[in-house]
Amino acid sequence: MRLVFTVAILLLSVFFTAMAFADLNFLSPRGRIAPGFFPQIIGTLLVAFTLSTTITEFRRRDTEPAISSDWAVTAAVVGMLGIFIAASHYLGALAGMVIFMLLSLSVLNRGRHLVNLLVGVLLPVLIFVSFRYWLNAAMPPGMIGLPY
Amino acid sequence: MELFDNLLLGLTVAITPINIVYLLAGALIGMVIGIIPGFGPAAGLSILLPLTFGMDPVGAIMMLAAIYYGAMYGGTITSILLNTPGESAVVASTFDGYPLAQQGRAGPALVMQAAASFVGGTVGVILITVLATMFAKVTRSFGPPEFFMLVMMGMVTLVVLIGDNWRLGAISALIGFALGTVGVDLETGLQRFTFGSPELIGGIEFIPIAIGLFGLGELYYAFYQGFHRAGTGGVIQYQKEKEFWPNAKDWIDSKMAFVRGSILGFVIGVVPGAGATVASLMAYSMEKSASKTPEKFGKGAMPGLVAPECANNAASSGAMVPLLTLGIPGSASTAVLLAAFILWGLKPGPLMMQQNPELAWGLIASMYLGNMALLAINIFAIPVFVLMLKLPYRILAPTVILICTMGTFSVHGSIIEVWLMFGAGILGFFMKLYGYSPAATVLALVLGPLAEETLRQTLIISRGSPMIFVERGMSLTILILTIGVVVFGLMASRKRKAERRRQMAIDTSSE
Repeated sequence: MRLVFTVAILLLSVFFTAMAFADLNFLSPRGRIAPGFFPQIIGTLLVAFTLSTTITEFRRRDTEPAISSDWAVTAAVVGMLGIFIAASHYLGALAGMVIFMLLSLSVLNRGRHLVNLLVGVLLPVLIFVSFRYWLNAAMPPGMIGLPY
Repeated sequence: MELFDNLLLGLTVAITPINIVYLLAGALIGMVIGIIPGFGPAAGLSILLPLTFGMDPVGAIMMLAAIYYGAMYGGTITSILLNTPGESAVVASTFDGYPLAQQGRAGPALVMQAAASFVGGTVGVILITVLATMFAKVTRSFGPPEFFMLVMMGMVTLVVLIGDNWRLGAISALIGFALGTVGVDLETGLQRFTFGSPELIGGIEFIPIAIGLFGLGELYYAFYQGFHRAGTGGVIQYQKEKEFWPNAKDWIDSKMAFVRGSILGFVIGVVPGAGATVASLMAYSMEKSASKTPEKFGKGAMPGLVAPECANNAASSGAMVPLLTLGIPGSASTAVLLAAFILWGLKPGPLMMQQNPELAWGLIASMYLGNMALLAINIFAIPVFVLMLKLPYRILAPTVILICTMGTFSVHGSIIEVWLMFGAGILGFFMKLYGYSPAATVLALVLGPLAEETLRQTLIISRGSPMIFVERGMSLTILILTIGVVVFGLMASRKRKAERRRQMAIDTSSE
């Protein structure tokens, strides 16, 4: 996985650098710094460092420590956050928060249905009320808006 | 006399009922943030910054600063009781803090860490009070070359001194610089890396990236390590303590550790990029070298706990000096504080002490009060914080994710920024997992545009000649200091690697 991450950074660095060289000038016609000056230097250094790191990682790819058995839970939490953001966008903040809490507690706190139901509903309500009415903060309204 | 007048002005600003409430709330929240495993001041500040938008700027800045140094106090509690440092700046506190708890001396260790944090924090604030005005006077003569060199010094110091692999640190910083180039070029109006998206014209927002990299990245990492399964009750050593208060020997043994740790911590904290982690590790090494009984270190020596605690709190105060007098954050946490200043339309820098004395001195005065409050909270509320450690991570973590997400949305009401936070969270997790430095990325994101602007101005002044950096005295001084830091950092890294190899050889031969 370490090698995959390093290669992903390398590819993104190459993309960034290619764009910097293709679209932006290093110096202006009057010899002053142009918009491409910084991106081209940063991109070149980034490609050089990530390439050297990728080579190092490739050489020691057999010594990488084993992946934690909790990677699936970590991936599930990331996925649930994605669902939460999408749900907040379409259904509104409160519904999104309740869905996220119920989903995440059903995975992380298995078997304690009553506790999960109470925490999964009351905590989002508390956070919603605090943000919306106490802190006067903006909350995702959802596609149909917030009736409350 | 001017000093006392300024401090008096600060106290009159700080001591109002509402500001005291904000200060105490900040100190308490900071302690709680510090206690949550994997969370440090930068994560706490990023998450809570959006929540302070409805507040008065002075109260909000006081509260955020209290969260900042409060988290430093709280982080050590888990280091001592669970052998789990809340963040990198309190790693050195586990070396002797946890062995003390294992020996049934958790109570004295917690009281001594509170006292050390108080001494370090207060010495730091006294030194800010004395030096900030002088520093501001010196920096008033700084031009673009000096600012550019300072930014570079901060980044180079961070890359070289933090972590074992400077190449990964450099990649992390370059990612931040690359993100900082997104948006409209201010001189020509040309769009860079916006892909036609109007959301990106203003550049990549700092807060979603900071919340993602620090808040979510740390949370995912904690899940990956199995914090949600482990529970906490079984590993707490606090129940076994024989006595609560430290004895006379603890105080006598540690008296020089208080002095050395505080002064070293402040000096390191002032250097942009060095920060509390480097300060605490250096203070531990220095204390061990200076001790007549170095063999006791690592086995529960009280000075081994006191020195790094004094140093990390003094460094937190020291890091406020470049922030207030230059507008240059020296660490990820002060970068978030800078974002807060900018959001309220305040521009920290050489003229801030003159133009906004109420805010600058109010903040400094509040730090005296905050440290006193934290000492009391720390000692008398220890049982409450121990109870908090028993709160299951599997419930705490989803709650923090809710606050991160809603906090990010509330800044500009933008769902795109929430998705940006989501992406930064995944990036932050892998960076943490594979030894990269999210702190360097965040700092570079803040400092990148400043570096580009000051380099442009410098080369316009010098008509394109880079010799300007060595022709100006102050710029040359900063350049020499930077080279010194690099040489020192590389030597220290080589020494660490040699020590590790020696230790591995000893372990292999003993097997």
